[in-house]
Amino acid sequence: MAKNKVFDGVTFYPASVEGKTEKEFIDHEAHHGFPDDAMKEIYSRLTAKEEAKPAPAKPIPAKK
Amino acid sequence: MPYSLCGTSVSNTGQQDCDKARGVGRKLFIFGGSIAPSDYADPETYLATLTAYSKLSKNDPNKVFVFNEMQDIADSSDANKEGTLGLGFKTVLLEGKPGYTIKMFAGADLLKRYRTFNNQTVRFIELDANGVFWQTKVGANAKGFQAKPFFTGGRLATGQNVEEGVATLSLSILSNSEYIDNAYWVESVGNVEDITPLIDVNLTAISHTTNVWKIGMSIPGSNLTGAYNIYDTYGVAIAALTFTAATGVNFATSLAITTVAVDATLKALTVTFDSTAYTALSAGVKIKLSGPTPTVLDTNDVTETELIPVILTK
Repeated sequence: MAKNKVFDGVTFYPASVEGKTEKEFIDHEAHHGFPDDAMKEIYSRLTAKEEAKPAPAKPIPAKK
Repeated sequence: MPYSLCGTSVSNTGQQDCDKARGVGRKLFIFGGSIAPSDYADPETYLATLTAYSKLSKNDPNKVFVFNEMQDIADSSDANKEGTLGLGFKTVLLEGKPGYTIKMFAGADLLKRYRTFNNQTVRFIELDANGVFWQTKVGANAKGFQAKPFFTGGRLATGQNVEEGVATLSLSILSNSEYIDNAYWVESVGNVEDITPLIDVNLTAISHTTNVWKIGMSIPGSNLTGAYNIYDTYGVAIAALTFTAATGVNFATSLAITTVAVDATLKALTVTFDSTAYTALSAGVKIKLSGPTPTVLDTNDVTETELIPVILTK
């Protein structure tokens, strides 16, 4: 489940990027006053997929 | 007389050493909920339960409201009704109901909050000066004693007694059965001051431009010149937590929030709703904006605070 992320006093909710292109995101949140390159970086971080966690190691069967 | 039916109606009269008795009153906790056996299995669990319940929203049925420590207590119980016979026999006909007159410190704002409990039928748990909690049981669950509180105070001090900032609570207890015959105790282990009162902080609509709203956070009070703005204390911490919004019947339809930010100039929050969803709402639609729960606030070091939702009108 996506989580909120805070950048410079602004908390971005998952809904800020869900179903939105980068341009739509930048237009929607323009009132926060971030420069475009910052907004692009924020969009990129918000849409980055969480790294998959490695599968838990299987237990080694006991010797017979 | 060798023939007796007493065995079916009375108890043996032995006493264990260190049998508990109510000590001097120390604190009262208004508690309308119930505590399950697993939550009073030992004193530590009991205290943790009351502590957690004190941090619940006031809308929660298990909410614990905390009153300030008692500074003075007088027994104002109703006297027993007695009857006599003409040749000198005197007996109790009816037991009087317990009651107390209790003084505690409370300023003008707190007194107003206390007085919202006046003549309400509530349940309460006692803590005495020996560190023992007293309550009753309904079924297997622990519950408070039923009572009606009434607060007075807020008058000019006379300079003759300690009166300034002293509120007086008249506590009328409804049931001897609950209060005496079915009273149960739990010893306290730990810091009973962990059971803390919360304060209402109202979310307020300041202004908006389409889907971007400016939201204030203030403690309502008696200061005519304005409510107490909590922005400087907790604004940044609260903005970093999760708000929710809803519309429709019983506010059952969620409305997406895209961002919450601090506005250092206004000392308020900037809440942005998803513009597509917001635009789709008809003019005049009510939107309920809710902050994080008191428990979430407390976990994130915004302590002793309950954010009260605000209704916005599109």
